[in-house]
Amino acid sequence: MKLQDDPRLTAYALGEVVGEEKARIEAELANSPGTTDEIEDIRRVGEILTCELGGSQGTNKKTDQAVSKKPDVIRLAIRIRRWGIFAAAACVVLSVGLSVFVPSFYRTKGWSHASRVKSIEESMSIHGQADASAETEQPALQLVPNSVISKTTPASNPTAQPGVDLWAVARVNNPTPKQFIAPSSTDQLAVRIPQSRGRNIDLGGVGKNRQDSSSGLPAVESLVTTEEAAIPFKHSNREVEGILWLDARENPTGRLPAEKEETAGDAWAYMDIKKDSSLSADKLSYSYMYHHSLNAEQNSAESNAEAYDTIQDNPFLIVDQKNALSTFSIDVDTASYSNIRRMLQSGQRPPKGAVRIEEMINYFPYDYPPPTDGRPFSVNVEIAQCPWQPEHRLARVGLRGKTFAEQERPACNLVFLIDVSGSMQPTNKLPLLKQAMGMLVNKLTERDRVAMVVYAGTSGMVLDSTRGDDHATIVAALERLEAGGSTNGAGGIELAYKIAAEHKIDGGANRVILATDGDFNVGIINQSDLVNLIEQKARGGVFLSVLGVGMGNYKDSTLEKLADKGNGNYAYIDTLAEARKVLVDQVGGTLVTIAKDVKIQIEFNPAIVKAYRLIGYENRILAAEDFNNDKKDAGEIGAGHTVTALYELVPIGGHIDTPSVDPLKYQPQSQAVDATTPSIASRSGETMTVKLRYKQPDGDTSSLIEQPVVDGSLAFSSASADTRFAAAVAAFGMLLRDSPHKGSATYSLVSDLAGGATINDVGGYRAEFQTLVQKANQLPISEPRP
Amino acid sequence: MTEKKVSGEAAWIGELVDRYEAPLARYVRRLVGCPDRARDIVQEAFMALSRESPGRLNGHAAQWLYTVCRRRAMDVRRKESRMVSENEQAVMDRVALGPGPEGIVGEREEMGRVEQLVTELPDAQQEMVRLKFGGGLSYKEIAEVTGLSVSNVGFLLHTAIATLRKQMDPDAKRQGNMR
Repeated sequence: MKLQDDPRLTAYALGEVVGEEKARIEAELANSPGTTDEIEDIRRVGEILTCELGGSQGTNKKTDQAVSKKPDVIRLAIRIRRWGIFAAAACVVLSVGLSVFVPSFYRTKGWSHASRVKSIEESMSIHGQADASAETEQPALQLVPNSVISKTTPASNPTAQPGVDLWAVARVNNPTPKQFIAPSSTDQLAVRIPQSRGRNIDLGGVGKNRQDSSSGLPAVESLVTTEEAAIPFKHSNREVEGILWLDARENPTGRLPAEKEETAGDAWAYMDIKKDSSLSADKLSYSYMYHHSLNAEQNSAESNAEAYDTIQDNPFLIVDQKNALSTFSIDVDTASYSNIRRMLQSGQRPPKGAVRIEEMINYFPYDYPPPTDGRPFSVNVEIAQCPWQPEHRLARVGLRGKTFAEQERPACNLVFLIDVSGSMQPTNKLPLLKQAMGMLVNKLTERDRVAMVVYAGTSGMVLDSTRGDDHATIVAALERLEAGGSTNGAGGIELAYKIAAEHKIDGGANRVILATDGDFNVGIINQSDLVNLIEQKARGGVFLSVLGVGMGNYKDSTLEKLADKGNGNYAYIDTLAEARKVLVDQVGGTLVTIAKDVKIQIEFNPAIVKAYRLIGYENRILAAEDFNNDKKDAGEIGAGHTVTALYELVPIGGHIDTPSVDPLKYQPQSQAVDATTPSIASRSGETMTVKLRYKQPDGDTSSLIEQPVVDGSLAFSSASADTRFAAAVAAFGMLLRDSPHKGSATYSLVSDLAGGATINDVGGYRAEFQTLVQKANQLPISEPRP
Repeated sequence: MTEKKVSGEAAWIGELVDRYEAPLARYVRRLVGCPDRARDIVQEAFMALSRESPGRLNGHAAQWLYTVCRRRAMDVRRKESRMVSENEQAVMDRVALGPGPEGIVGEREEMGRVEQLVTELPDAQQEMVRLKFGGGLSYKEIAEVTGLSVSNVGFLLHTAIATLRKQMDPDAKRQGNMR
């Protein structure tokens, strides 16, 4: 027989054959002279292949070559990917024979650095975390995931300037492996590039002896214009010196390390460290760069990449000529509550910026009567005692949108724009979304149309606009959706709007539904371009809804902004029940806008109200003159939606701590005039007048609703259950934000207030609220955070 | 989770990354074509791996990694062939694709001779070689990863090695070990 041509020979040579089969082959081999050489040959080829194709050996070899070119210098190269799933700090390419793997990096991708690639500092914003626990007895070449160096660094670096900094850190291991040195010691080199351009490069050890090494270094002028910066550094204690290179050019030629597979968006940094007698390659364990902000909120260990705008509570305003009017845009977003719930349920205290009280209040359905006068919504005002400040009054303004019976609702033209990037893979993201969309599909009829566009590394249509009753086709398209790749939100958005426009249903609900975890990390990532596009399309009658899915890298402020500009709403989906609530139960409200640009303006009567405070809606405040300006965009209200706003009122004669301004010298003494000669209206006994402006969904001019309100001197306990529950939610929000206006509110007060108000709790949302209050109450008191 | 356990798992994953990251990336790259995508797939796989417990994988981490990466790569291929692109050029402009022509030339030069020979093999053989020698998987594991029969794997590898032997000869013999 010809064993040479027998696959079994190869299998045998590679050690794949065992047992009887092995014995049989060996017997055959004994009779086949020359096969020994064959086997040797195969094994040698195998060895070569293993060597060339296998793992770290290959990398090592290349590293050695790179280092050997400059025998006195150890070069560490750090790839900084500008966008892409992996914040580049994980890709330490030439760190001497060592790959660094830090799973927590993977959550820190996102919008913030991808959206602003123009300046080098930002393009290099790597959110890194590493090795705060190095004091434990570990082998020297080891990195511990999930521990955070940024936690220790600012504390031990008192001279650091506020701002966003870029650090490059190389660790020099102690020559004696057993004595591993903690990162706060002087054995670290850190180079800090301040955010402001043209400033000096600060440099020094992170540790106690930072001052030893931070003086007398040359400044590097604007990193942006030079594109390349070489930053010499020297660390006196360790007698280590070298040069840190930052190269902002795309594809820096001539200096690419061995691995060539970077994309155009990558930037590189190099740390050339001059060796001295005490330092050799095997003692340099790793290097990494990370982006570090001294803004305490971003800096905190918990707030990985989630972005929240900071919120300042609305202050009390004295009812005088300047402030007698309070004007704001309605907001039907509810995402903040889901988000807070997710954090509390995982035992985490939500950052203050994530607590939007109006979104919490509006998460819950309220039982206001629907409109009966042909208007798109009803206005329901109630004033009662304020539970956390008993001498104050609490005014509740509740709107209720008209509802459609299922068969009366307008036809829907929906285009789902679905993020299928790799980060959407977890079961609480794309799979959850698919399930919820499957439920929605069952509600659609032949009048509706559905299309699907996916976006990831590239974007494309997976389902062209299809009649709503063709459930099989839609479901089949849903089934095919898979997560993978990186995200380019913009290309997909354009395509989605194009399909929506092509199939526009006049008089129907034309809507693009963007479902994403908030990362748009490939391609044009200019947020303002995106916002402009969405705004422009909304004017054309195609609105945008945003579904935030998943957790961890979820960007609250970005998604909300997109939904706002697209005349749409924004909801956060974290469980199937929530997805059902948003997509199925509220299909009317989420999908059908019944009035747009809804603004509320309240005029307070100075004869009754001394001061007032709008609770929540901080980012919705409008100037008084915007109320009658039909060009000014405002919130939308959907079918069946309720919108609730609360005001805390200080009655005349009450005490109010507002910083006083000296009386104006040249102005007429308006206060005095008002007090002595009150207008007829101010003697009416009315507390306030609520005015609303809204437009029909396809209209350009607004209509006005005006309604005077008299305080009926209700005790809190006599107020409606809806008012009491809304007050409980507001108090909860104030506690979570540690609001200066929380008064006597405590978690047990919240619990009491809500406890008496859980009637008509359809869906169990109010009962669930109670459990969250318990959770929050059990959390340890947090350190003060902004 | 205790510190000790965290660092134990870190070490475990760190070793796997050291050993498999590069070969996996090269393997996936041949399947999906785009180096950027390949790297994402590999890193997603490691990310998924970090959620698995070492005990559960019980020495099959390599097979697990290759299986996950292969499945993802196939998904990507299927998806891309399925999608109807809106405006090919507009999309291309925005999507970061791999190295341009110059980059590819550079890559060829950089590539070892052996790597180059492997690249020239037919797709199926190349995949077998990468799984066997890059990933260190056994025939049986390769069969499980790819869905081929063990004998089919054996045949493909036998053919691939025969080809490579011819091409390496006489260089391979003279150098003994190409390293």
